[in-house]
Amino acid sequence: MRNFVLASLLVAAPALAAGPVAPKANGMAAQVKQWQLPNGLKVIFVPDHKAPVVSVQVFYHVGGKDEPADKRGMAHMFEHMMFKGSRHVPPEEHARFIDAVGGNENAFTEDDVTAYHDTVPPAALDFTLQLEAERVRNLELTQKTIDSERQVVIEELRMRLENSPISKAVDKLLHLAYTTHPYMQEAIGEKKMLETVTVEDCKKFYDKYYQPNNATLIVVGDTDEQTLRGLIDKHFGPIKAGAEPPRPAAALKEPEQKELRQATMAMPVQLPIVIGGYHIPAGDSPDLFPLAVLERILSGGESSRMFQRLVRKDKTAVVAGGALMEHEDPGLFLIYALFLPGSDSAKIRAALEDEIAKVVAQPVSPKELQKAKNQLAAQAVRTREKAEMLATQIGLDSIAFKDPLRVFSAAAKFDAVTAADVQRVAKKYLQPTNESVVVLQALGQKAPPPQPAPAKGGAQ
Amino acid sequence: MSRRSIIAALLAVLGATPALADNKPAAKPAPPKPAADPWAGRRDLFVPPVVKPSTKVDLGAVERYTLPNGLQVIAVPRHNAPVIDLLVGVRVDEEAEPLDKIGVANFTAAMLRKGTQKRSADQISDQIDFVGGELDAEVGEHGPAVACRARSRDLTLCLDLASDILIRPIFPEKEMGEIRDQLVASVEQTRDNPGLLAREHAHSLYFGDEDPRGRPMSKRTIAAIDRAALVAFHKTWFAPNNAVLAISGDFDPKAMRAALTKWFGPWKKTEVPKLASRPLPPAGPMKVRLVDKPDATQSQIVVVGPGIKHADPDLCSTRLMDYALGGGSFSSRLMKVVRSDNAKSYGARSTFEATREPGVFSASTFTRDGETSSTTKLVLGEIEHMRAGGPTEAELAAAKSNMIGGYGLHFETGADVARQLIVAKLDDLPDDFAVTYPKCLETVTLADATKAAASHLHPQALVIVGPAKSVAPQLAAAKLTPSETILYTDPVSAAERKLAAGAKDQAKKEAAAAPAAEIEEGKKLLQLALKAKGADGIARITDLHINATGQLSAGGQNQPIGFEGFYAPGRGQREDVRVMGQVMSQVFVDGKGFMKVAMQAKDLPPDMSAALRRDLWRNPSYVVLSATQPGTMVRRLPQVTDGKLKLDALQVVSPEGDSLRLLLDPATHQVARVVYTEDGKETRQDLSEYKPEAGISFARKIVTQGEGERMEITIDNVQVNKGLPKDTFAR
Repeated sequence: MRNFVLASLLVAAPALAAGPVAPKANGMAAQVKQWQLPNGLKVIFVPDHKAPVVSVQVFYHVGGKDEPADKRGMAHMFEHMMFKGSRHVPPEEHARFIDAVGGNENAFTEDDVTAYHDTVPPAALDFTLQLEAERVRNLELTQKTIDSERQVVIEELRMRLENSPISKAVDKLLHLAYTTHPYMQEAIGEKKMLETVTVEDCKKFYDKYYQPNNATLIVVGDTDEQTLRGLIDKHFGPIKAGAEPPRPAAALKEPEQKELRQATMAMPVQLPIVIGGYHIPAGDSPDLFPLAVLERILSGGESSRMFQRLVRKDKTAVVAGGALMEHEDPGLFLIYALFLPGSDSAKIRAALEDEIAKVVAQPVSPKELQKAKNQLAAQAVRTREKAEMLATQIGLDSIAFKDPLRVFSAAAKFDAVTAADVQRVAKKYLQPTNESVVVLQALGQKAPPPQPAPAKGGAQ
Repeated sequence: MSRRSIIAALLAVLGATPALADNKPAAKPAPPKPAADPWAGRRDLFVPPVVKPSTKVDLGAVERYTLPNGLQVIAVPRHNAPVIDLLVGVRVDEEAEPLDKIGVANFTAAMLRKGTQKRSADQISDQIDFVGGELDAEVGEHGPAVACRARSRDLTLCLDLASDILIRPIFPEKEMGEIRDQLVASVEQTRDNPGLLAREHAHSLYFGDEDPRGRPMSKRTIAAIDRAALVAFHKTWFAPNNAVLAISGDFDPKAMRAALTKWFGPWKKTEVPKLASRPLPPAGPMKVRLVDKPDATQSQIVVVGPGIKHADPDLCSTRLMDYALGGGSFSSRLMKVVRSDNAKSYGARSTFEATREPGVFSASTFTRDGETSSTTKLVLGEIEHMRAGGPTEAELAAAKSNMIGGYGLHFETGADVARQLIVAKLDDLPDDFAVTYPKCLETVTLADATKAAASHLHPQALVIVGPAKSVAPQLAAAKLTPSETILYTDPVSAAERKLAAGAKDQAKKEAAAAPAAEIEEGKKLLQLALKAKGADGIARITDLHINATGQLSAGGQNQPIGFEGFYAPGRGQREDVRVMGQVMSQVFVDGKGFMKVAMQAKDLPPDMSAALRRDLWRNPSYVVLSATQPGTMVRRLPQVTDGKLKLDALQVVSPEGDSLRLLLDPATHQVARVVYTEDGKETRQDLSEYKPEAGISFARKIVTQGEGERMEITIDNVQVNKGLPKDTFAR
């Protein structure tokens, strides 16, 4: 029950999903196979015979950030269209086929990636690959299905964003932190823009990004390499390569933030939030390793610094912590606290920032450092436990970190992180001038005065 | 849900849920491609493999035994990943919670981690966090449970911690505040989540207030739980002979029994009360409740009715039937009709919650508010259609092939196996339930599934959470008129709503029942105050305009403010506060409140509006005038000592039942303080430095002090009956 609080935050703000983990290389890693088809499709296979389960996932390297600026939400809407019929498969029959063999299927769209996953009994592997290959290039887009799915997607937006106060705070924060880069808008998009998406828009988008040379096929589970190679060649081999996809976000580099940005929102909300974010580098920067360690020290469990300070010592918040938005382009280091309306949001914000100031000013203790490393290592082991979870992680890591096998190789890099490294990245990124912060509070509560000058964030 | 499973679930919910086929054969126009595809429209190219789903289930190695203290053990050794999962479930359900202390199970479970005879709360967190493990104690669908997950090298720590918090918790009083706040937060959060709120109301409407299944945890019930209640709940139910332990993962099965005996052996067997069994409410016509959430742009729709027990002989036929109705999301009728064919929603589903006792059947969806009644009718129509005719042969076959064919996916890890087995045990199912379940599904005939539909689909309660303004007329037109409309911030249970309303009646009754002498003296005091204020002038007030400057203190920060107040007693008021160049206005006029920041007006929720209405009534500049309005009751209270000063005290109760206290300076008879309570929190306003204006004396210094904030203003200028600017109350 209590965890609902945290659950809603995470669900509301997909960006907060703690990303990667640091497994030790083990037997599984040695068996990982990677290859590429002549048409450019990348394949990653991890055999896992512990249970009759195989997960098939296709990651397309396209997400919210690749959308035209006036069609935000289109990548996600397009993901829906991928279930609405192709040349040889009637609308929604893909999902029904997978259900019929006892499997489950779904898809998700993020800022950098759109992924389609099917988890099935091994006997259905051949058929599942055939279905996924079909929709790489054979999708059929009609006015009728687009109009109908548009309503469905807008309903999803109403649920996730419009009627969820915390999501609105996250949305506001992203718009504050990003002034140029498309990460300012979450993949769910904007209602007004969704209204304008046409068949022609979808067709162009499909032709640009849904090409074998822009996709990675990940298979984890109970099958063998030889069988799999044969099936993939049969179904995906004949698909022709497309042109190199455009990357509009490359020209939309976020300028360096020079001063604190802050906003206050008031709406009917029973459990308000303070949420802040600091710009951090792109996923392939080595600084992401010490930043992940720091994130754990601030928010890994009830012994973490944020929980100890705000929930246990100050008793002002019910949940407090941080999270990393690790992305292909520069992401954010988030801090947040949820609190009861009677609590003082200014005090809460000051406490969050004070805890940040402390890690900037002082090295973390050896015990905290080891605790963070243990947490990252344990997370990695857990991620590798289930076929579907592992396949998804590989897909996400292949794009965010440009390292699909990070889940097998990061352990050594986390282990090498020192207290000095942690302090260095804290000092480099967690500065008040690099921070954006949103205070969402109950309508009618007196608005807290905007903080005058960046308090004591950068104190040495 | 653990943090990790939240993240995993997150990955699944981030994006879109694909829709279900519209089921029409593919009469598709040929694609407008120059080179026609000879295979276009050929459905036969995609033929799902004919995999006769096997009903054989291989759970792998499983050991079961019972320790001498009665603790039942399920051990599932698996060596493919270096992890262990320990899970201890306690057999107890809602029936065990007293109606006035609903939430005691959650509270007790959460407090287990907050201190034992051997460890403090922080020591427990430190130890489990250090190894990167997880230790959860909470109430789930099948009752309270303690779970410890860690790498296998930390097995001993998990055994030590889990046994310690189960056997030796001390429920420290000083830790209760944190858990209480978190439980209150989960109650509050339900109001921010219309789907969860609709579900709570649906249970409340179906089971009623006298049944713990219909009574959600509330601020009131949480506040009523004291340490003694936690200790008693733990003592009564947390016994080894009333619990099941499952251990799975990478451990040595030969050594496990001795280890469990070492750690859990000291847990003392006790006599545990038999769990009461309560029948489902008797069938009747469907009740309808509308929960008004004025700012919502979408309506949540939930229908509930009687469900079944996990051990019900109709379990398999009912689940297969429900798969066709709404359980098999992409292959179900509800998804097809509500989403695929009519694009009313993103999702629609149904489920039978089956535990030790019968749960509920529920069907739910959500839609833009304008489509509320049409979508509700679609859902009710599909339920009725299924009830009347059952599933088709093809639907039953599809349900079987999914549920039997995909059964193995539920047993991927040792923890998966352990979870299935412990749930079966807690729900009083036979030990071989997990193994025979696919067979049970396979033997269901179309007649069985049709019978299950006829027997188990009887919607009894419909709840809609949405903006009443647009939803109520639709429901009336659709002949689904709600028997009650409830504000979303009000308590879910009728009894608690009555109590809240009763508190106001109570204030009125008490004031009316006061001894005649107290009432007489009260009236006298009020007359004196009125005279001191300037009785003639104040009776003629039509409007007031105040300019002030001062200071706002909150969270240890002080900010200078500008303050401007516009008042039309009895009709409206506007207060502008200027802080650091920003102006925020709160306006209440003609019964409604709104807020204005940076030219943007926002309606205030009804509870806030109501508070502003009370502000208008108790405005310190003319509160004595309010107190003389017809229907208002006053009584004298004992004198109050404030420092050296003794103040006369007066209770004032408005015709609506709102109450405040006035403290009067006995020398001048001016109001020195106004005290009132909003939402359990006291606010006091100190008034001083009275000076006359237009024959009325006004306090020039007003200090308002509430919890955590303080506003001090000095009034520089008061204008009486000069007329307010025309757009004062304009949005």
